[in-house]
Amino acid sequence: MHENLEKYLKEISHYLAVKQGAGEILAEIRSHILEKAERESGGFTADSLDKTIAGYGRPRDVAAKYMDGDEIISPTFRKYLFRYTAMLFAIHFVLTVLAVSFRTSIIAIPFFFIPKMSAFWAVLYLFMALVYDFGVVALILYLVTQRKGDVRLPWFGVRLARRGESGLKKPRPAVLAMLIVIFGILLYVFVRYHTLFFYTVNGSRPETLLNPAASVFFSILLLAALACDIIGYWIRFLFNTAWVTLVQNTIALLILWIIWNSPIKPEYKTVPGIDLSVVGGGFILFLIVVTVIRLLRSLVRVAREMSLP
Amino acid sequence: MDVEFGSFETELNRGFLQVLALVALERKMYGYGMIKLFEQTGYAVEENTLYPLLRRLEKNGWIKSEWDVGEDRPKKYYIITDMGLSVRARALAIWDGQSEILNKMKEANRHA
Repeated sequence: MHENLEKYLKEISHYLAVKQGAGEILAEIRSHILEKAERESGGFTADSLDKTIAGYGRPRDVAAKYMDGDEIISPTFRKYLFRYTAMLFAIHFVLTVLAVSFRTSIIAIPFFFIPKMSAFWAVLYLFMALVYDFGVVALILYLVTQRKGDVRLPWFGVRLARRGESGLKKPRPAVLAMLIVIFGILLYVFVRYHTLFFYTVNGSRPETLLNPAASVFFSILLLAALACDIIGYWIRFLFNTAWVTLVQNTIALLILWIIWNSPIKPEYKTVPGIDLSVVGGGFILFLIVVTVIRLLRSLVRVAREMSLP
Repeated sequence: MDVEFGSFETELNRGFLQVLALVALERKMYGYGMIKLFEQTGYAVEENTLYPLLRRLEKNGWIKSEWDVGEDRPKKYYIITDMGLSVRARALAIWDGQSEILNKMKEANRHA
C-alpha cells in the first residue's frame, strides 16, 4: 500500500537489534508517519509520505536511538581488545615460526592450529591468524559485555611506557663497542681461515669442522646475524623503540631458519668422543629458542607501545 | 563550535525531556499528540528522540502503554504509573534544587 514506508520500516528492522518489541516499535513509527503525513503534508500522497519519512531520520540512526547504552562490546574493554589480541597473536606468531622451522603442524586446542607449510604461506597465514585472533578476543569480550555482571578480566600488568618510548634499557656505548670488537675478531678469523667452525688438538693447526662450502655458508650467515644485532643496537641510540628490536630479532630468526633448513648438508668431521651432528643441531636449536624468546618480548613491548594513549 | 554546542544541548535536553514527558503524561497521550503539545509550549522535540525515550520510561515501569485500535489508525497511548509519579516528584525536587543553586551562583557572580 505505502511501498516506500514499508521499505523504510523494513530497513529500520534490519538495524533494530532489540530483544523484544521490535514489531511494536515499527508499528508505532508507522502510525506516527501516517498521521503526520496526513495532518501536515496534505494526505497520503507519495510525496507527503516521502517528505515525512525523510524528516524522521536515516533508518540506522532511528534504530540506534532504541539501542542507546546497549553496546556490543563495552567501550571499557577497548584496551583489553587490543592487548589481548596482541598477546594471542604473539603466541600465534611464535608457534607459526616453530611450525615452519621444524616443518610440522602444531595443534593447541582450542585456539591454535598451525598447519605444516612453507615460509611463503606462513606470511599469508599470519595475516589470517591476526584476523582470527582479533575475532576470538572480540567474541569473548562480547560475551562478557552481554553478561552485564561485574566480570573482572585479568589485566596483564606491564611497566607503562609513553608512546615513542619502549621501556627498553638505554643502549650503552660499551656494549656496542664490545659487539663491534667481537665482530671484528670473527671477521678476521673468517678471512684468514675461511671458517668460524674449527677445532685444534693441543694447540695444533686449526682444523675446520665442516666441509669448505658449508663452512663459508654458515660462517657468513653467523656474521650476518651478528651484524644485524650491531646495526639494531646502533639504531637504538637514535630511536630506542621496541620496533627496532622486533625487526632485528625477526631477521635473526630468519637467518637461523635458513641455517636450520639449509639444503647444504655439512659433512661433519669426526672429533673423538663428540657427536658433532648432535652438538651442531643442539647449538642451532638453542639459538632459535633464545631468539624466539627475544622476539616474543619484542612483540609484547611493541604491543604495549601501541596500546598506550 | 556549533557541533559541540549541539552535543551539549542534547545532553541537557536528555534529562529535561524525561521529566517533561512524566509531567505531560499526567493524562493519557500518544506520541504525535505529545510532540504537538510540546511545540505549543515552545519546546521542539524530534519524534525519533521521543519514542525511544518513552520506551525506556516504560521499561523502567514509570509509564505504561496500551494500543487503541478503535480509531481509523491504531495509536499507542501512554500514561504515568504510580512509580512514575514518585520518580517525577523526586526529579522535580532535584530540578528545583539545581535551579536554586544556579540562581545563587549567578547572584554571587553579580556581586563579585
